[in-house]
Amino acid sequence: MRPQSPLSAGKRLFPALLVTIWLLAGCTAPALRDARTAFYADRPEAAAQRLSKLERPSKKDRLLYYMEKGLILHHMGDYEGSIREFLAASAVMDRQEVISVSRQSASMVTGEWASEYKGEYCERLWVHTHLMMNFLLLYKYENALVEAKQALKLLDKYPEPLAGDHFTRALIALCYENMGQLNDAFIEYEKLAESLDDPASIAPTLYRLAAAPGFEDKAARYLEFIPRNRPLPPDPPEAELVIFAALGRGPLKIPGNIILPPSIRFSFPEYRSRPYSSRDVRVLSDAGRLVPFFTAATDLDTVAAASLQARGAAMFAKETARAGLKEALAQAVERKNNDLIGLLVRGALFIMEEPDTRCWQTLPGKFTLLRIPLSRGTHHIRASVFGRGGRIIREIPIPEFTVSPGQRRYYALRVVE
Amino acid sequence: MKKRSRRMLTAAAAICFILPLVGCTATTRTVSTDETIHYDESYDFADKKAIVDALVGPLLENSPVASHTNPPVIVIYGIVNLTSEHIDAGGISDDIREAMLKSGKVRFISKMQRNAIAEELDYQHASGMVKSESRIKMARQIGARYMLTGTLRSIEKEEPPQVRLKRKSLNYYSLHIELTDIETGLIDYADSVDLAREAAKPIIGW
Repeated sequence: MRPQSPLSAGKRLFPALLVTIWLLAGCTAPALRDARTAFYADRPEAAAQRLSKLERPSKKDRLLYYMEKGLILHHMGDYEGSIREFLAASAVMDRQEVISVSRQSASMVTGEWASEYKGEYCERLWVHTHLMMNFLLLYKYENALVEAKQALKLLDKYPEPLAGDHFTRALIALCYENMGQLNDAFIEYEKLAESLDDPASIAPTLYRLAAAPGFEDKAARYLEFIPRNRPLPPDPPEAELVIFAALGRGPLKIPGNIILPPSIRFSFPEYRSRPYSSRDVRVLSDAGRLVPFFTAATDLDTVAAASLQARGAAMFAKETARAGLKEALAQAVERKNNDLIGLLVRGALFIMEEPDTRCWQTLPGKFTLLRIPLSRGTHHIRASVFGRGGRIIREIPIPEFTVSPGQRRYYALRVVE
Repeated sequence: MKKRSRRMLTAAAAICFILPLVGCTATTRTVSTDETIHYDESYDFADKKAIVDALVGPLLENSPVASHTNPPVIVIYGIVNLTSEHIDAGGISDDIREAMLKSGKVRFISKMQRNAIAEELDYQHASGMVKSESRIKMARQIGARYMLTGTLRSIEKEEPPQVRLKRKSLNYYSLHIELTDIETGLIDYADSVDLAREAAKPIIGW
């Protein structure tokens, strides 16, 4: 005969669990969902407006809020607004260095989704990547270098999962180059070359930066990677067009589950790629194709998967502890209550064991940095985005511009198809 | 007995409810700008003040500007921020200029206002809107003798990962300034000021 009391543990626990879920749910999720839908329906203004309507994002989703809004504003060409949002994201990331006991305890009973979203290592890095791009597009070179240094901290902290982010490394080097810190730029270009299977696409830049201060052995090494039929860029190029191309859609997190009897559920997120057709960007002038002297690309699917995998051991340990705790809790309730209460609590704990599939969803699938040498004067240039089989998906005319010797012009483009 | 335990339960619930609200009261207070307040290890207002105070005195006393009988003219080419923080380096150069101007030992021309001055002169002379007798005469501007430049750098170090409750970090800032004689191109004076601060942040919080 089990003891029955009007305020038994199970009866108190069940409503408490429901209240916890309600309190933790927050109200940011619908706004994020609507904004993402509008963004991919080619209505970025509506997406930004939907997020702006939200007076204050919930604490647990505020990082995602700033990330999504920052990227949407970047896409709209509102670089100042985008900087504001990404700097807010950066400040949140700094504050998240402190582990919250209350949130961690809550997530032990519910799931990771109940805690404040901290972003994968790669997502945290891409906040600084976007800040670098925004500052460069506004010709604020000092600020861009500040962000380059912030990005470097993350690349140094998580070298393996982030090794595939060639685009960000190339941006960092460019930021150093802009400030005349050529030795630092050379170091970053060298790190980039080491992470590439074939450094031919960046060899001319490495050759130029090695030859200038007299690093003859290094200059000779990178000269070998430059195809014989390709002319060396003038030293330095007379002028330059730098294109930040963001293609396609980044990966989404989907739930993965392992279920053990009677009701033990291990849940974990995994990345799934989203299909997109854009593959490559070529730049053309009235005279024909303009061949970049430098290209660096990042496949965001690969880097995101590596970032999640790097957290795998910690996630598994916490998941195991949570499963153990929930099973102990369910057994304790079953011992002290009737079967129905026990079943309800088991069911609630099982349902709550949802993996945290939150992620930055407006990210592209691929970043490409193109640096095109130009002569002084006025230019009419367009970018052609190619899909599978060499089919042109989109022609993007770059507004007419004039460059003087030594000048760099920046242009950002995004194609979501 | 039941009544007593119910009362205790109510009191405990009330305490639990009130406690979190105690820390939520918004407060403001006016602080003296001479007061040194650091919330963390990063660059702040007090650092700017310390940097300016440490540099201006020696610059006025020991640099070549002290040997001029007529106050020489200086142009500031700005302070370059090479730290890993978004610091308004323009604020430092503005304060240096202000402190030096107040000394009466130097004069300044503004690099930032050059375009605006040219625009205003153009308006006065080319628009036909300004009385001829009140127009400012052209080619009367004074050229600078010295150029003041500077670089703000930082080095940050964090304690390596280990089992602990607090993480210490050390920030080191260095502002280097140079006074260049525009006539000769020689760097006539250089000085620097260093600041270092250690902070400990909790790893675990509520």
